[in-house]
Amino acid sequence: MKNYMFFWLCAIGLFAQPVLGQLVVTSVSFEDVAERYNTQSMEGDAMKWIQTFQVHLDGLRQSKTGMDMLMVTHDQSHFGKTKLYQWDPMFGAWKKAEYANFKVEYNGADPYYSFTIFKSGVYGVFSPIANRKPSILDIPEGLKVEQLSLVDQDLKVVLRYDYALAKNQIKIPIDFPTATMQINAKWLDKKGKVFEANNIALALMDPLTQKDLDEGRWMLSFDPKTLTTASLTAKK
Amino acid sequence: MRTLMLLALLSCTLKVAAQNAAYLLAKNLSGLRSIELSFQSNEVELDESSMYALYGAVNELYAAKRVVLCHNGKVFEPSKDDLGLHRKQWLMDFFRQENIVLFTENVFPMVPTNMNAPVVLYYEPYTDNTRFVQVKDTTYFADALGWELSHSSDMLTEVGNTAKGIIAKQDWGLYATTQSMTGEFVQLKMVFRMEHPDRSTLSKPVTIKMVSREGKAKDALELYIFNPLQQKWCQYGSGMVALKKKGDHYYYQSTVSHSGIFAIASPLTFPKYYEALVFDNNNTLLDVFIEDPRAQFNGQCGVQDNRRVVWVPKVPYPEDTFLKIHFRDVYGHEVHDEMSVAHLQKLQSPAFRFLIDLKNNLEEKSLTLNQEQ
Repeated sequence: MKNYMFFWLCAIGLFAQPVLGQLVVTSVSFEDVAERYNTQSMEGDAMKWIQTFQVHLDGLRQSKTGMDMLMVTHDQSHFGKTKLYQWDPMFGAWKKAEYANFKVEYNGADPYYSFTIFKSGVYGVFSPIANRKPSILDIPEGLKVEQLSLVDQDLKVVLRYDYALAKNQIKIPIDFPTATMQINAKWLDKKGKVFEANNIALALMDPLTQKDLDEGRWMLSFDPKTLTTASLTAKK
Repeated sequence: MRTLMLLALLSCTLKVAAQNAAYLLAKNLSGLRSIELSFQSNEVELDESSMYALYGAVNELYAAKRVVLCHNGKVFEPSKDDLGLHRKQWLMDFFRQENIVLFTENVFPMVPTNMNAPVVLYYEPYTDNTRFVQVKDTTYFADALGWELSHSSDMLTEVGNTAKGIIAKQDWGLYATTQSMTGEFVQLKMVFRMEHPDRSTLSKPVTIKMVSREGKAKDALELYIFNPLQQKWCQYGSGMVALKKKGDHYYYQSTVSHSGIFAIASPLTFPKYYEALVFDNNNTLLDVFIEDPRAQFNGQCGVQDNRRVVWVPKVPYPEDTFLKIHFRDVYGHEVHDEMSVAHLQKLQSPAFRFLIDLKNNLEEKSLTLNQEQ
């Protein structure tokens, strides 16, 4: 990680030496993304996280010419499909960074990203997931789900629904969720008792059956009696 | 009477065919060194003298050009107590454990008549001087393996300090992959080192010529550079490699200006090329690596984003090709497993049947799954 940061800062320094004083770049880890953001595009598609970072340019540097950046990357698997996105706090989703001229280039065998930044903000490099056919997540009647997020540490995907859900059906932009996808949820039962589930594997809450996968529709069990995991807590 | 004559004729034909096969095998094995192996009576393991003989030659066996196993039909044949099968399994496991590469196509169920032991191991030792033909006309640098460098005179010190040379085939395992960055497999023809101790780029391009030991290559050739971090081969520049002729010899010519490990390779043109294997729904596949002792398929298999389906190349020798499977269970434990491709294909698990369902009934989902390929 230290090496990576070193290369990254060197690359920025090379291209942005005259304005280094006005440029601040900080790395945003996947854990930060899982906690504060998501990995969904404005179109609603789920994307795989590769790298995220925050750029602060001072007012003078929000220029028309932009700031050229080179970023060393270790991800090889989705070249040609990766794109640069910028976080849109209004919509709570990632929108494509326009005019960024995002490219993957090589120095010998070492690949790096080359792009141009025009505005301050949180940026991320994402690639599309292959299984994008949406499926329906059913929540049992009588429960009020206040908060729901699905985090896949292996696939690097975060789906987040922070608002109280009006419906008991959620359209999930993944057709085959992984068995170890972690669920964080907060819900009220009929008596108004608040329950929280923290980082429970999907297959532990409700094992996906072949029928679920075929139909692309699965019901999530929120019954605390069936959930014996220690991380499930009830609050008075 | 006619039936009897026909039977006699048939038996004669079979006998002649068997003798002919034995003759061809003996001819094929002439000049190879041999080790006679016997098993302990009613035991799975080899006897003591065989083990001594085997370990005495083990260094030569590691780097042998070819290893051939001949056994008489009875020693490994299935019986009531399965002793033959267990003996075969034990011997194959032993070879694998000792990194002795024995391909399935080099196992013959017959022993030449001049041998007494039930199992005979033949091998062709590796010798340096037979590998390459030397290029006579050199410019600045040339070594006994038959390659030369052309560079401008002001680079003499720079090139002199560079570690350079052809990497012998038995050392290719150090670069434990035959996969390119794009995920496709390549067939390595030649691997060479051009490593400067301090620099990642050379001040000027250097032209390299190497004798092709295969003569005129049939496949299109490309130049790759090894990325040690990703353990994959990356196409170098335009990837152009010229194949030229000088006298009786063909040689590769290319230009490099970076420091690193390079390979001349041809992208594998096997039929596109995968078969899907599906794992159960309670685990998440993290990585699947494929290992082929022939160094044709060493690399990462494509795991689909649902982390259940893995695309395995259609390998010519599934018995010898192993998958190293790394997965996570629902309790967060990471598990490593290993099995041969042949074994995986034979598994009649619900997961395997799910694959059949997927292919036959779920055309739409099947297409979705194929997107990434």
